[in-house]
Amino acid sequence: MVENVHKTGNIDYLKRSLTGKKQVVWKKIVNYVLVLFLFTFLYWSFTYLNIPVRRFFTMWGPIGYKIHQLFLPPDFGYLNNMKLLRSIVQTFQLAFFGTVVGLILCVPLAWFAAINVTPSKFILYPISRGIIILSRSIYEIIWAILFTMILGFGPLAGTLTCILATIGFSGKLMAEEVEAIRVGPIEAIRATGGNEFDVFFYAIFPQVRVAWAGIAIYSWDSTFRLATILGYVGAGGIGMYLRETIEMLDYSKTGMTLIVIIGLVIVSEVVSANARKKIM
Amino acid sequence: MVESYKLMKKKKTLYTTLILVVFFAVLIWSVYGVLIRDTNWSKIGSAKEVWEAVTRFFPPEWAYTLKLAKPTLDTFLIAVLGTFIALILSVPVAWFAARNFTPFFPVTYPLGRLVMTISRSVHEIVWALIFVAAVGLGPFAGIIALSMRSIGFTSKLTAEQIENIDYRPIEAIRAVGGNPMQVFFYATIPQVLPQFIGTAIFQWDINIRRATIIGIVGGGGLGLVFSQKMAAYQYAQATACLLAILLLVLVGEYTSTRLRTLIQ
Amino acid sequence: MTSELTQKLKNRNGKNAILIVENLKKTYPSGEPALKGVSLEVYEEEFVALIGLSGAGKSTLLRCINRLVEPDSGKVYLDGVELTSLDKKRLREARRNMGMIFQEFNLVERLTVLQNILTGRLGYIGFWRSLFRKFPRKDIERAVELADLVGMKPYIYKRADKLSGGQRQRVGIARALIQEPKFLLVDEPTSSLDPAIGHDVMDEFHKTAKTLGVPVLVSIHDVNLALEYADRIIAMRNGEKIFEGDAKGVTREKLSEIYQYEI
Repeated sequence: MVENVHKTGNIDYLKRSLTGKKQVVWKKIVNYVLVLFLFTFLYWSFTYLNIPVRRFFTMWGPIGYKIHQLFLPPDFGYLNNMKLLRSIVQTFQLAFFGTVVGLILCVPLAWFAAINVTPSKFILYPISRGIIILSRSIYEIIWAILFTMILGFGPLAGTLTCILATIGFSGKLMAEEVEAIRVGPIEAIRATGGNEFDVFFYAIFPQVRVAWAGIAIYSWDSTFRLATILGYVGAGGIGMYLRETIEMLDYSKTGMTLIVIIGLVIVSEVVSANARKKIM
Repeated sequence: MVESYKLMKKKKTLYTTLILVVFFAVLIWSVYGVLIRDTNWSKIGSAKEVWEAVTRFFPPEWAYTLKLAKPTLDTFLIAVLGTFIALILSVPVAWFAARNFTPFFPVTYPLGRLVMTISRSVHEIVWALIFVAAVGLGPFAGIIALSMRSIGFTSKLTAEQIENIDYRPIEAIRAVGGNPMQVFFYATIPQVLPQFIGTAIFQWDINIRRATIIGIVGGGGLGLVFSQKMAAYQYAQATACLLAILLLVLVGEYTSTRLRTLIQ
Repeated sequence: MTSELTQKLKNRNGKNAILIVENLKKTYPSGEPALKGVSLEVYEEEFVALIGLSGAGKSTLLRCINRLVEPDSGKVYLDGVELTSLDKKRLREARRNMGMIFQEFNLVERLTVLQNILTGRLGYIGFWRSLFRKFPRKDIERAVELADLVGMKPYIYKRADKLSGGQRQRVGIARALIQEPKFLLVDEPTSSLDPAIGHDVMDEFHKTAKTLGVPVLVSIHDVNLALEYADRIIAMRNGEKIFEGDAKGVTREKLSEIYQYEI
């Protein structure tokens, strides 16, 4: 043992004494196999998808050049465009409307989707869980496309998409909050003869109120971010100009639109971070 | 004293009422803007016409689902690879953005944080557009766009983990005579790794969803198929495609939840 | 009703049995049998203490009586009404007649003392009123009276989460009393309190039973407190009743005999 210390140095001795058993060797083998598997998988998938790996490293130059050529300088004069400004307002309106309606719907939805307090385990619970899962799994943009197919282009489709997005986002989180509450006050209200609504208003809601408020603000962030690009598929808002300017090859305007979008998102995040501080 | 308590209560009620009034005003204004001013109700048509439009999507063309196997695999791989590249790239970004380990605070810290913010603020569709314009249609653009978007999240969580680590193992390794590399591998990594893996799995799950819509913009996989079918008015096949997406997402979500509980 | 039942109703020094429990059984889904067939009666103006170690089934028994937990089999009668056969709506009406006091007080933390007491009347007011917390004036006056009774009148506008343990329990008592119950179920009222406050709380229950005429069934694991206040003692172990008798008759030998089998 002592010769080993001199030969291999302090670190190896430490490592061996930390793990101590013969399993060190076994673990090493498993590690190597995993790494080998990983690299084989990567190699295969890169080949399968025809990914030009070399281009990954060389492309940054041409990308940078292209970006410089096409997007810069952004067309600041575009800000004077009334339609663009109107669309900013529209983006906000549809996001706000959608989030509010979505949150209102989430209140009973989260209540029904919480296994511990749902008034009906075999009907309401699976239905509300199903609604939440459905809203979450299908990407919001796809909902937007579907709505534009059914209802035509415009902010109505966008609002409906925002409602579903909010439900998907907040519904799960809010239900989880309900599932985490103390059971005591629920028992107390039931023991006095209150019905399920009483249990909700006096035992459940007071406990989850604050957490739900935080989730609501969080959800606004996410939904607003979505609303800024919904217009790309025709569901209203500033995203529409993203598509238009690309199709017209007017890339400097696209760059400006992008800057506006990013700016809006940052402003919204700052505002909601402040609001969250005030509530917590 | 009762007087001041009552006064404080009155102030609070006034403040709350004000906020409520503003809230409802904005709400009504939004509803007006969306429903009345900007929606052309006659264009939408009657309820019957709307319902007709909905029924065009059902029933899905089941036979078509077999042809969807390849795009599904594509989307799956795009998600995996995109997450993988994001994870690799987020290591240096997290390193820069960690207050305690960043190599040169005035420069690298803001740089790291900037990369994170940009990554998170720019929607994946925008990323996809950028890279499709740069390298053409197909999964390559999709993978890179996806990784660009994911870096923000993974590096943010990892940076927070790094900022919160326990310094004692670091001291211990230093005391034994380890060099910075060894400190990194034996003290820092074991602490950060579990959370890192959890974040990776979580991101992979989200990225499956993102991969589908990156496809819509040209990134390949199920998303591309979906947009093609919609453009060709082949709604039944589009619905089949949607079902494939739903299935893939559910499988991904189930797997990721299971894996995460395994890790804990 | 069976003749045995009718006989029970008149037993005990001419006082009626308010609560009759017949052969309650409950096994939890995990496989643990919590109640293995427990029967008991509680008569008017009685103070009955339920003793036994933790896990004996005391909490489960209390919760099966007002069906917060559904018993697997057995019957419960409150003043002649069979609780175990009621549908949800009638059960809620019946629950108005039973007050319950909890180990962890179970108040609504964000509401004031007064509002918490008023929640005891929820079984009597309709949906819209409870939503807007519009309790009838009569109830509010009664709530203030009861707050005074338990010594909490100076605090009626204070939020529940700003009270001490003993104060909270007293609010819980007032909440149970505003139901004008025929019976009081009490689950370990002193476990979360300082020992000194324990006596105050037990005094309140004694007052309730004797002065207000509402019989009380208290589950408690402090045997000394039980012997000090109760008329009758019922002892449980492993889901079964192993002893029942007047508190006066419980000597130290009897106690060690009861607890002898516990290791």
